[in-house]
Amino acid sequence: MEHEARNAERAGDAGILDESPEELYENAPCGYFSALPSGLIVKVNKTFLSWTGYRRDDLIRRKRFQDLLTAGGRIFHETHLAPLLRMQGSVREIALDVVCADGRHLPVLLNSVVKSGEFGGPLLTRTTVFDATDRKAYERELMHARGLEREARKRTEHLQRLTSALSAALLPTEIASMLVAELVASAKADFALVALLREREDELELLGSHGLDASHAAGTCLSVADTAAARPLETREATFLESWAAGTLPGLPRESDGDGAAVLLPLVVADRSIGIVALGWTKQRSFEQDDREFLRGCAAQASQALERARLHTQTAAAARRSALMAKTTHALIEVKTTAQRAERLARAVIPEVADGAWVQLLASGDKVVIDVAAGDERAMVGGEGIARRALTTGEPQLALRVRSRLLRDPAADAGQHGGHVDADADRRPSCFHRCRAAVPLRFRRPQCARAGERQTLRAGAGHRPHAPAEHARQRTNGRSPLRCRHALQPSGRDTRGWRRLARRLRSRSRPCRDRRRRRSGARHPGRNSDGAVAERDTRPCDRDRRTRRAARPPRHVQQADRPRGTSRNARLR
Amino acid sequence: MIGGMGALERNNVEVLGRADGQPMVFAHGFGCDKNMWRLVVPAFEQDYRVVLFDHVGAGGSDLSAYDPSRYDSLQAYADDVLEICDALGLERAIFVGHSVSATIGVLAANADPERFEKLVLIGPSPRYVDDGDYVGGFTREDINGLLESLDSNYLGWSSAIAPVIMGNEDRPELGEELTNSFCRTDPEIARNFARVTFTADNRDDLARVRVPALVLQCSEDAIAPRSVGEYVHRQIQGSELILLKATGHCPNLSAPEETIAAMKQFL
Repeated sequence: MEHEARNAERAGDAGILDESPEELYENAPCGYFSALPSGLIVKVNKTFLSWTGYRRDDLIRRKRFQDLLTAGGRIFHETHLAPLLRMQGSVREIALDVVCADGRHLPVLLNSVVKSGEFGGPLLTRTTVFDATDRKAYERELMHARGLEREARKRTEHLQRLTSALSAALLPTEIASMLVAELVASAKADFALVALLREREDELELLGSHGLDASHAAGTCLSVADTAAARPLETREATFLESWAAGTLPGLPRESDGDGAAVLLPLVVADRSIGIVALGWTKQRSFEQDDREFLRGCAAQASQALERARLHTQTAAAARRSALMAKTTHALIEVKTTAQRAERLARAVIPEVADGAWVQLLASGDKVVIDVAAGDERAMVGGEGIARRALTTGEPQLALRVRSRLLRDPAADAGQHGGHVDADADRRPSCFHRCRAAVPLRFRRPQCARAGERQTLRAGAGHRPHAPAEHARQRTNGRSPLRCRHALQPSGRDTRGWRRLARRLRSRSRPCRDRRRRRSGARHPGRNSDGAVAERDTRPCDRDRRTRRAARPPRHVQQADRPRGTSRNARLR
Repeated sequence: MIGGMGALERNNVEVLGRADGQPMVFAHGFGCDKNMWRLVVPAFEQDYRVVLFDHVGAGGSDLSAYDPSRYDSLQAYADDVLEICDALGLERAIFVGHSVSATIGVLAANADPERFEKLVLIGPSPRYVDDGDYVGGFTREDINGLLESLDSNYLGWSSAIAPVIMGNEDRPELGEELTNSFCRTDPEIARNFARVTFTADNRDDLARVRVPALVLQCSEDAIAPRSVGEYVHRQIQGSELILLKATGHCPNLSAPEETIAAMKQFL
């Protein structure tokens, strides 16, 4: 210390240690300048000049301090810094960027003090400037990190909100609208749609959408092949398209380059794609890892919710079916004759299972011995085809997409024999078809046949007014003393249920087997629905696809006109 | 919508001057609060009923009333002005708006022309960003730069407004109020207000003004250049333009006397 002090003293004597005010000002460890209240620079130190690269003559009485700032900084100067200085006489630690002579931006922190004149008005502003390059860089990192953290928190909140909202949703359409609303709000998507694969897996049915025109209302069907959804559905991987033809999301067209962006998220349950979520933006955008995770998370939540909704519906349907079975069994055993039972059977399924039902029992020689109907007759129009198939094959038959023009009013039909086509029918979306089922009944009558001989009761669906002759003609090859034709027009596709109902009709001698079948039926309950008969009737797509698939008869059965007396027919008899 | 006393509390409304005088509503611009009028208001207190207020999000306003989706356009701020006028039952009011509040005044006067007798627009600019032939003075990048400046400064905002009152020893209350006012500025709100202000385009609204208007233009204004002031003057039918010697964007602070004189001449 002493040594150092002595050195300093010697240096001072020699004139090397210059601590004159001028030296202190010019070479201070900070930039220093003075400006008039207008900002015009009148004095500046060397440090400031060397940091910024300006010559003294460039600045003195030529530049205002605000002229050295970036445009954004200039606004800040005018709206914050200048008023603050004027009102409180000083500012501290204001962060700004000074534009240097070579155009480089120098981040600085500045303190200013106003020197007042004799009458209190501002005379001069003195400002010290500190280089804040490193601090600013660090600050930017912090800001960036804070921004990311805020984003992550927001995403977590969005996901939590979606999860809790979905947990209460039990209808697929409800789930779709929640998902769409959430994604539009959080991902700021301009278009969104949620669609589920239909049974044949070559069509998508829209459940909900946002930002699309009316042609993409819920219920619309799109062919998978016409959309970009095919690949994500097949690979079960989300597709992120940062460049996409903007505004073309409607209809989910094939991929193409453009000035927008899109995301296709498959909805996957148990390694199987059940549908797709598509989002579109009108501007190109990038998808960070976090964005991708978030969107995948939303899709996963929605998939689970849809599966949950399916299971719920299935359970509810099983319960409803059990109740119906119990009721029907009770109704059937109350009466003794076949005719009474046939009538009870027809009535029993209205309205829980179908809008209309029709049971016919055929005796040999095409003779209709019993013919009863219940419910809405219009629902039975045009079911001859499947009735015939049911009778021919001995298997239950389903027609899930009966063309809507077949649903015309029988009254109108009567007036315009066959030439009439419902003008609106073709304009209706393809999903809006009714469905119907026909179940063959096999019938054993021990008291009027040889012991052990099985007799056949068969059923088909059809429009009562034209039913008997044609169908019955096909049925007459058997040896059975009694042939029955049972025509039902149900809306449900749960053929197990139908078979069971049919068994009730001939249930005098086989209660044990019935119980066994019922148990096995309960293990794989079909889902026929959600309660509303009307909706069920017109919207086959809402129903569970797997059940439908299970219920679909084997391909060979669908061939309508099998030759009579095939081995299958023989076996059934 | 908040009516009655709600609007008065929400906007921290202060009424000064002659109770039976013609009402004069002062609206502050972006970055400040009603204290900006401190040096101007005393000149009008004798003859007018002076109404001061803070825009929601600024100064002593009710920050809980700030809803980013509502205050997503200047029209919402204009609606607030009309609500204040309603709450106080003001008629034939003179509206004095600084900076962005000049535009807010134009919107309010267009929405309810009967309410206002005159408009005083200090440093107005209907659009800050250049657009074709129109020169607003800024580009989109410039506005992004401003938002960044706001971000940097709010990080250490509390120290920037440390109440070091120098040169104001005789008026300590001045510094104190200002300090509090800036303390209460929520950084997020300031950012939103900046975005709404500097990305707005209200050029078409000028031609619809039917209230006599005065445009006060500073000679060197980095925010609203002279060409913009002249544009406003041209667009508002029958308006008067006074070019002040004062420089900067806040003549009400830097040259209160000149500002007052120009206003009085117009009134």
